[in-house]
Amino acid sequence: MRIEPLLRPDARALRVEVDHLAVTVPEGTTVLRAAEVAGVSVPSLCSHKELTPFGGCRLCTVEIEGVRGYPLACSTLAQDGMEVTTDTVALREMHAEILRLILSEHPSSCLLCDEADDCRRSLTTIRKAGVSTGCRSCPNDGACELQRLVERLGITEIGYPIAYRGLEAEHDDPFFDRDYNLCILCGRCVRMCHEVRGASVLAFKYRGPRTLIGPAFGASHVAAGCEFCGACVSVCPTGALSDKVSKWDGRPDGIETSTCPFCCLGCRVELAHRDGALSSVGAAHDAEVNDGQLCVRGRFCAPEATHHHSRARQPLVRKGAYFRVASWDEALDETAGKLSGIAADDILMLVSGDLANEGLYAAQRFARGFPGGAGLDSTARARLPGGPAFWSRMFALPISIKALGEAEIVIVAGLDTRFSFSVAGVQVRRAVRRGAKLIVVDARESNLARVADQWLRPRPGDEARALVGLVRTLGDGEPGPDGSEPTPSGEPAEAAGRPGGEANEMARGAATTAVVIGPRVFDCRGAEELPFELEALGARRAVSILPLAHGANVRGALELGVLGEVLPGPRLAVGRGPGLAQLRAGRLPKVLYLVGEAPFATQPACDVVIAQDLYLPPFEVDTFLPAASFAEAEGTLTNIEGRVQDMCRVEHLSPGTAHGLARPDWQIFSDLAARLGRSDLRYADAAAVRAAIRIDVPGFAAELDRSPRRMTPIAPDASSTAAGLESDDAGRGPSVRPQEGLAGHGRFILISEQASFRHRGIDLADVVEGLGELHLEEGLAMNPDDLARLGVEEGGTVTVTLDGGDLVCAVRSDSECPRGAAFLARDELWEWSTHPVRVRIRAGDRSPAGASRPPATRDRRLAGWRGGG
Amino acid sequence: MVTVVERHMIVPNVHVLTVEAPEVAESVRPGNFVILRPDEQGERIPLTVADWDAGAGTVTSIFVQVGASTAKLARLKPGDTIPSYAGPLGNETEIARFGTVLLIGGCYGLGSLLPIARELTAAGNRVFVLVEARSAYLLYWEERLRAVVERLIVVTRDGSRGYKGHVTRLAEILALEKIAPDRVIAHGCTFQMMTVSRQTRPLGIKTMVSMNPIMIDGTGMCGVCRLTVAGKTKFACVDGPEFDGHEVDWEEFLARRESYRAEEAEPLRRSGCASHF
Repeated sequence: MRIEPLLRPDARALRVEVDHLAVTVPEGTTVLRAAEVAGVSVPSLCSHKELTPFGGCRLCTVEIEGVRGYPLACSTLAQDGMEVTTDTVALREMHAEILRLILSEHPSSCLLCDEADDCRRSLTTIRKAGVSTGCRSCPNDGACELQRLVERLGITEIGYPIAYRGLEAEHDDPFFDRDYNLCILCGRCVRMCHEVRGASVLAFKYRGPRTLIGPAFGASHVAAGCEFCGACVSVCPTGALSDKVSKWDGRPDGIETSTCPFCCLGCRVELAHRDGALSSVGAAHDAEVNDGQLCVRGRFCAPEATHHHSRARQPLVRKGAYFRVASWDEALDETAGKLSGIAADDILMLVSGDLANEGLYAAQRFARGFPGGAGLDSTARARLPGGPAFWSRMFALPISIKALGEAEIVIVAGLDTRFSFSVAGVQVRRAVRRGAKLIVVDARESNLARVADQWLRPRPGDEARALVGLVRTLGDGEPGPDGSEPTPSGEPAEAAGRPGGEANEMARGAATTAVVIGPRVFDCRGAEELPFELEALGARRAVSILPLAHGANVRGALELGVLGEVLPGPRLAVGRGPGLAQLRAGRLPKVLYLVGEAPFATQPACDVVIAQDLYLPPFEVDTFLPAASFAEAEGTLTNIEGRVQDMCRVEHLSPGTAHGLARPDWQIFSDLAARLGRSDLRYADAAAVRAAIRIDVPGFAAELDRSPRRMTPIAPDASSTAAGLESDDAGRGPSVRPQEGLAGHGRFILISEQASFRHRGIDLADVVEGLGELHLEEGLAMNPDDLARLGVEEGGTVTVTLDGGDLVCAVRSDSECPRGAAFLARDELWEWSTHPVRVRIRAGDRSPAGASRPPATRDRRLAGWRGGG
Repeated sequence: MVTVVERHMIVPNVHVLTVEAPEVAESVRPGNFVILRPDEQGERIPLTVADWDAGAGTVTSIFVQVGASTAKLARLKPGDTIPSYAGPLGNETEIARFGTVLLIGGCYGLGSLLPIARELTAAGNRVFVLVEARSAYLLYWEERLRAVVERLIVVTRDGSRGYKGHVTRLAEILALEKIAPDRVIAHGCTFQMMTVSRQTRPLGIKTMVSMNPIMIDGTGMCGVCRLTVAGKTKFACVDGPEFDGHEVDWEEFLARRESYRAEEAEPLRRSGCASHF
């Protein structure tokens, strides 16, 4: 991909001979790549197939007929008729000598030790060193490119004085460690960070023998804006960069391709496993989805999310005063007993939108199979503000991640891709590098706003209206693709805060347009018009859309009908029983069956609470059914493009008390249905569930067909919810959005964003130590100037007063926030019906004493909420 | 609870830890060890004593960072406290007039040999010390050792100082240095002590090694530190830590050390800075 600038589509074919082997390569190919095509391996440490040639390690010298000296294969372009020789006595000596020079500055005594094998065995237990002084105490032992090269070139002596730089190893940023004493300055990490990620956090510092890698001016990686995507760690040929979580696991037993379970992009990942347990996650090179890139969650968070010591891995039942471990048989019998003979109005099954398709489908089938039905709803509803009909229209648009990178004009609204949806950010910056114009619509500063050609900065909460205005007038005055009359000019994008004319001018003439819409935008007023405007834009020009929603499988949840009023397909139905709206209103059902969600901080006042999850909820339940995590069961996830992608099981620990007895969600429903005397959920395996899905959902792909799909929209007229002002007549409708003006009083605009690090009811920051240390979503984020004006220090307490009551919380200084606005992460149960809203913010805790506590949610960020009204 | 007087990384991955422990400093002898916990929730680990000052009431150990507990120790700063610090434990090194004694040290052993060298010299022995490291930059306390022995011999794996190679060259080095030891005492990693024992057996030199198994209480109660010496089960804490290297069942010892490989890595399977150093 990175050779792009050199490889043109109209490239000529060149005939090159490498070691007398003739190959044909396109013009723009390097000699190194031509040699690779010929099956000839030239030693190299700095070249990488994804990165531009660098010529840093000087190892790949070759001889070329008619060329003086020894050119570098990695940075010399192949030419027609070139005759390349890679293996002569002189070259071999040169390669060995250069490697010896590199080794003289790398702790290499183990590399040349004649007792390496014996020593390796005796040191297995004591190698977890803070600083590596040899291969045996290096996390990269066995996977090191230097080791391989030493072996290949047969180096047994260095012959140069040994230099150890004596740099302090860097452990003070989360997720990966850095020991630049091992660094050979190949520059792969720097190029990866700059060329592929577009983040440019890493650079070469100082010159000559003092050269060092790191962020400029000695800043920490956190401060320098590192995304912690780990791409640098993945390309490091040595142990200089090592991932904290898995560095001491040793070489994996195997690597399986799977799908990341943390967000709707559905990045393809490679799961490394050892001794039947997940060790680490790397990016798979799938050009359609993530193209070898990941975000912090995908790259670093999975092992702790599935192995955290607080994982509950055994069935538990409450018997009187005891809450104790039970066998599956006992737990299932107990649960079935509590579920039998319940009226539809008395039970709610609340299902997470992070479950695999198989679990989601079985869940809705389980709920709907109750005699008389049962309440069924999903927290995916909170992730999809606007409702099923709205999102079915969004999913009917041409959605593509890959097309982003190839677009000529990219519009991004309400999105920062540093820690969420980073892969989309990579594609946006790739498009920019290729010459695309980037227009950002965001009240908040973001990593993409900083590289935008134009940054439209509407009033906070008006991103949707600004985006609609921009999309409506985009490319005004141009004839349609079929040569029809120019579309009449729409209303000016007044909400954009500044004239959108410049942006429109930019868009003129551009053939392909990509629109990326962050989750926050769908909470804003005016968002209901988006699908229609985007459809209209699609009629005028080639577009690709990327609507982003939190939750790993929210599209699957909609398609598979895990909402009361939506059947698999999706088709509309009449919902029965309670839903999310009742929970939000504090009307609790008698029986609450939580599947992968735990949206309360304290015990909900239900007669029976059943939890089926990876972790125990933070409140008492009657039965707990341990569910298998993404690494422990086979399954599929539907990404935002509609691709049905497989998750691979890599955990094969023996069932037992030490490692648990977790079962896949679909199997738990299947087992329970059998206990209830039902025969409609008999599935032998996950594939059988998928076979059932294919009957109900037209076009649902077989697991190996990962092609994107467009959804057939649910007819809006048949929908119980109308665009714009959505009614609540089914008792489960989502938010009501005011059309004009802002609700509330006060000087500040409060924007609540959905918490983004949720996975199956837990906050990943609670179990992933590094994520917790970043403190990303804690408290109220405000502009430092506003804090100074309020006289509050970072971390201090403020009281936010809005119509509903007071919210007392900690405040965080964030220069990316516009002045006059405050941003807060909210959880799924917190209804945000009036967004944005004006609020009063005062320093300190000003809430009236004795104010009653509100519907308690488990979110610690909202722990200070005191309801009034 | 004891207070940290000093903690710094003396060479890469090797740390000096000095604490205020007057009772230990008063009675400690060469070859003794202490058992400490780096924090309230920490595991108990043994560290051989490298030096002490009875007057100042301080005890010094050298430790290598090799896991979660030593990573916690490696974060300590002067003034910090350690919740428990028990010692002196184990039998002291036998100090007598042996004639010529060769001390062989690697890693933390360079430190723990120092008091032994001092006492053996004082007891009228000719004492030589052979220190071994992967590379010259990993050597420390050379001057302190040189001051209390007749000669310091250096072996580095990469030849960056002294003899090039490993202690497998022992017979050759002894011949070149014209040393005929009556006794060898080795302190270092298991592999090194095993190798020394294998080298000295054919030479017929009595060789004492300071065994370093996992320990919990250090007083003979738990039995975790068991090893087989001359066919008999011994506890390294109360029967040792020094044993005749020619009688130790090394294969079993190495296998036992591996028992908790997965568990030892477990506390480090975290992505945060709090668990790493």
